[in-house]
Amino acid sequence: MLIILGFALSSHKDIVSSFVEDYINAIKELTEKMLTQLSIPQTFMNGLFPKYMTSKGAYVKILIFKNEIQAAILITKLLRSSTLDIDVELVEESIPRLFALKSTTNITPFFYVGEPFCRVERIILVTERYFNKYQKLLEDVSYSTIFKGVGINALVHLEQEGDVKLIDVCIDAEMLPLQVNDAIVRIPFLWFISYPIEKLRTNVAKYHALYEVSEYIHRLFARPAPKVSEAILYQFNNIVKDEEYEKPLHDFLCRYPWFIEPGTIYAICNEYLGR
Amino acid sequence: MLFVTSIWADRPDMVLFLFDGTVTIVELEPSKVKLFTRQGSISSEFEKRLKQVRDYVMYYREHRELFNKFVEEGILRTTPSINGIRVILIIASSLTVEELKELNRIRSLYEKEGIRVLTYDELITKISLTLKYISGKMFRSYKHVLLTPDMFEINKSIVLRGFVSLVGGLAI
Repeated sequence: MLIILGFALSSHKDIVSSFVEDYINAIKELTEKMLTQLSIPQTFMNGLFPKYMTSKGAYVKILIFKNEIQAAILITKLLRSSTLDIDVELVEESIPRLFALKSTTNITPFFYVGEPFCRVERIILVTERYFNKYQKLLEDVSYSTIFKGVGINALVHLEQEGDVKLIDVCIDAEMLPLQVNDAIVRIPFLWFISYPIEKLRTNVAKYHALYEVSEYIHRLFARPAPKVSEAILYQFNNIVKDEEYEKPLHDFLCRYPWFIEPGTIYAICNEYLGR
Repeated sequence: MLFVTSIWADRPDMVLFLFDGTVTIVELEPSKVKLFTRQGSISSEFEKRLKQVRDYVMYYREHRELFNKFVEEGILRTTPSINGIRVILIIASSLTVEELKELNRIRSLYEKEGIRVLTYDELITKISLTLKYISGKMFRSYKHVLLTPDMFEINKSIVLRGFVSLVGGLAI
């Protein structure tokens, strides 16, 4: 029996590990492709995209308790390395138990807002005692998600000094496994747990990667990057100034299809476009 | 985000996939197409184009399994519903007031079938407003034009958004 259980858990580790690899690789590939096609300078994305999309290397730690993913922790400290290291660990204790003592049932989502585009709703400092057991694990974590069971979804950030910061934001409710009425921004990796481990497949990874990257590309064209939008505006004005604007406008629309239909995440342009 | 390929024999100019699982087919036609005859009735060229996009919608609504490939690839969340397949026809420019009035009447008829007709002028205005809005230029001009000294501050983006949607019907 123990051998079978051990085999199942080990198989879970493999599935999760290869899934995360697919996800991260798809993110990087898509980010690079989109930025090249949209002619967006690298410097824009460094400040506006989450670090795990821009750093060359990444270290990902995933915790599995029994047969459920308990936490997806992404550490992006490997700026100088280009390797992707994934560590899937089977833990013996349910992480949400740490939160069960905390009387914050009214606080559902937390988010570490380390990026300029994230909207802070409120910041809560939590004493370290709730995190004693996992403090070592959480050291230097830039993004982490801790959830499940008690209805608390949290992204936690440990400050240099060791304080634990829980920062409240709203979430894209569609991506949440819970019922949440507020909807503002998304949390990386939170969708992860809405899938049973057995259903984590390459196409799921690609889908989420595509959505994730599109989301940030969309943000790039919103408030945080006026220079990018001004450059596009300049380009657009040049196109429509010309009497023969049709073909260049068609090409423009292929590059920026969401001007036709906001919310577009994928577009196919016919090679015979404009004929 | 551009993936150039020719996936269907009918070759619509663009196919847009939205996160909510809907698909928008875009047909770009020349801006110089005359929509109406001198007598004010619909031109045969326009009629032909309307028929073409109607055929697209009907075809893809009947053959929704064509989109399964994109579901498998993780691009679409689900196969689009019948109403989730729509088409935008972008055509013509420089319409007169009378022509625009007539076009609006035609639009309301085709809207029910999932067909939207947009002129190049409208598209250019829409893009221009969107770009001006997101680059902050509209905010500045709006402030300049509409604010009197006693109404000095606009710091709620909701006000501006309301203004933009009022002007351009934009969904940003």
